[in-house]
Amino acid sequence: MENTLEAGTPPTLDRLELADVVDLALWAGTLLMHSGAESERVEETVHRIGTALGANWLDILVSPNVLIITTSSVDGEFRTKVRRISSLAVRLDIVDAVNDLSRRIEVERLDRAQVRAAMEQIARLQPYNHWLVALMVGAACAALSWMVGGDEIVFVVTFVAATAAQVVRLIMQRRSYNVFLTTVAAATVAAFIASTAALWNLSPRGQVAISSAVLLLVPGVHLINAAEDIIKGHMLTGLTRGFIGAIITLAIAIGITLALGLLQVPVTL
Amino acid sequence: MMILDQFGKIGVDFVLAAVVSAGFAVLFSVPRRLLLACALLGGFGYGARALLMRVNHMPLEWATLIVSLVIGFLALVLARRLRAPAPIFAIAACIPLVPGILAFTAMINFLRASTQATADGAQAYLSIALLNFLKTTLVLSSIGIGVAAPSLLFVRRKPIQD
Repeated sequence: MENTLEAGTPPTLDRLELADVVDLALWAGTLLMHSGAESERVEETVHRIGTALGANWLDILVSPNVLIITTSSVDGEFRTKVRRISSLAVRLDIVDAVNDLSRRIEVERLDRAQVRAAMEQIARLQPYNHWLVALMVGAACAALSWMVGGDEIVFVVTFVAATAAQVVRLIMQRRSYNVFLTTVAAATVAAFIASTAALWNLSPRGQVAISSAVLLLVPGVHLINAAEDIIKGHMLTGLTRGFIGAIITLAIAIGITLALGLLQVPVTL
Repeated sequence: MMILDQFGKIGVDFVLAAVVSAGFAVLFSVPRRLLLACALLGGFGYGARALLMRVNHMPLEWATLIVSLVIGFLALVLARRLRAPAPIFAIAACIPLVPGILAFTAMINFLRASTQATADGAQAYLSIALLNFLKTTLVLSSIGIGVAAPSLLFVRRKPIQD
């Protein structure tokens, strides 16, 4: 195996070996799609992993909710596998780990068993502590409120409201609620708490707190990925991601409008 | 003198934007060893855009395009240095540039327009919504071009097998 990988002549793989390669490549691609990687990166990484494991060529179709991969061997034998893409989370630690693995497969000549073990480890990666995330996100939104002209009161109110919204979002995500419903609920909670600044006349810039406290919900990664996908010619994934981003933004607007209407807050955004 | 006056404000912007980038980087589970680089690049990007807009009086869209291009290339440099995918740095650094407030202001005004009794009443809200929507789309496209540019220039592949 090691000799045949030299000098650009791929080995001949039988059907069982090809099945293993396509499984590993598809697994890596699915992990990337579920972690917020853009389409081009998914294609490149899957191709790199497949060829480094001995396949002669891979054809990859990245679609908004399905990933299809065909691996072929030099003698013309091929295998195709399909997997559904279900979530659109953002886990950049997984993107980093899969990228690192694809490099190691080439440099260190890992075999299929080693790759499988490494992949199992990547799938077990944990995000940061939830409370830390909530506090950091609160701080980020508070910083944004200061950047768009808020005062000290607005800063504190935004921090509390955004932290609470992140807690709500996390609880609903864990119970697998629909993403749009989750966004409406989190935006409502954020706007409810942030409205206090305007409602009790705590600050003359009270409306800034309301618009800043929901910024954690703006699907920035999907919107950036959408633009990038479209520029690189991945129209279907790009348009889908852009539309999902627009609908999530609409969900935020619905949440704010609900909270402001219920509380009769005298501000216009 | 004008420029000197701006530097204090830009310094504040730099620190705040770094906090924003770090906060969202934690939300997106960026590995700990990359957090500082993400924060610094984010602070740099927003600070540079504020400078372009206040001193050169550049419109938001163009300032974002220029800054995003620089972020895209710096992300590539950081990626080589720290052995991590470039998009991690680019995405974290571009988050403070994302026009979140414009985006949902557009949506809120669309919603408000639909509740008006007359077409004339709806028109004012619709034009606010449309303006914000246009700005959001253009700023997002600018960010997308900036993030995509380095790989479009340096990495070119044949689309199919020979």
